[in-house]
Amino acid sequence: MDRAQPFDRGLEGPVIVAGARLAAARAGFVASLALVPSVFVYGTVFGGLAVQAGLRPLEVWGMSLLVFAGASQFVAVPMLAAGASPLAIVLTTYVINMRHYLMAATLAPAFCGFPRRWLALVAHWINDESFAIAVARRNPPSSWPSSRCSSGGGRTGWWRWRAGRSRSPSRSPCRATGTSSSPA
Amino acid sequence: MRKDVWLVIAGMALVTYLTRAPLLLALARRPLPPRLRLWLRLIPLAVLPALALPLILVDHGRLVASPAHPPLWGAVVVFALAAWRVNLFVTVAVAVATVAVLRALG
Repeated sequence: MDRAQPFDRGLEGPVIVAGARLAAARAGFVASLALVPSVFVYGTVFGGLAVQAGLRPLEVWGMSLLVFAGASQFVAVPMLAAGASPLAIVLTTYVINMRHYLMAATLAPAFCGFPRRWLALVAHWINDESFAIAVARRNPPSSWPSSRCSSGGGRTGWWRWRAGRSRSPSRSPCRATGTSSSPA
Repeated sequence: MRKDVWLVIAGMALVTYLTRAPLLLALARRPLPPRLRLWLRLIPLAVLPALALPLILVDHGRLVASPAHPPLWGAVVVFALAAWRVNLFVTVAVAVATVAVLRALG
């Protein structure tokens, strides 16, 4: 992400911003590759375990897609198989996943300036692995290049850059303090 | 379609989403006071060891007492390589290999 830093200093044409974002996205992708082997094994083990416990493949697939939190799934499957009450399973899941509160709080500043519905979507991908990758690169996690809330002082907000003139940028409470230069 | 299973899955998905979304939505859109930011910075240091240590130090619900516990040596390898600033992928691979070899031997 260090390579993206110079872009935050005044050079803020959309092309350069897009380039910095591409570089950031690529860096994140490459950093995640280290986790692929272990996640692959973890997922395979879960699939096998769940089918053995009597879940149908579609249910295993649905759970992984909708819940997307490995530790709680590993606990829920034996509970399902043992015929535990739905309420107990859901409550256990909630307690196991309460750690996401801390992770979301830590990651939130890096998403400053994102539209709400994007945040609502991104939230689903907060998990141990993505959190570890994010804070391993930099703590606190670096923000999306040139977002108006980044400490580097980029002023071309993701929000404004993406939405053009159709939305008022003043709707976002996190604005850079500097003078506002209008994006092309 | 087994309704009860899908009901459980839907309930799990809902409560899990409720652990992820609220704080992300609430804290992403306003500048945070420095003290809160410092606190947030320290969270990963607390959360990640809290997730990892039980895997290393607990065996069948008991604290590991003897060095004949492969994950312990995996952790030692990770610490050594990380202190040496070896690439993350290499670190993970070597540690996994260490644990696998020790398991195969033991």
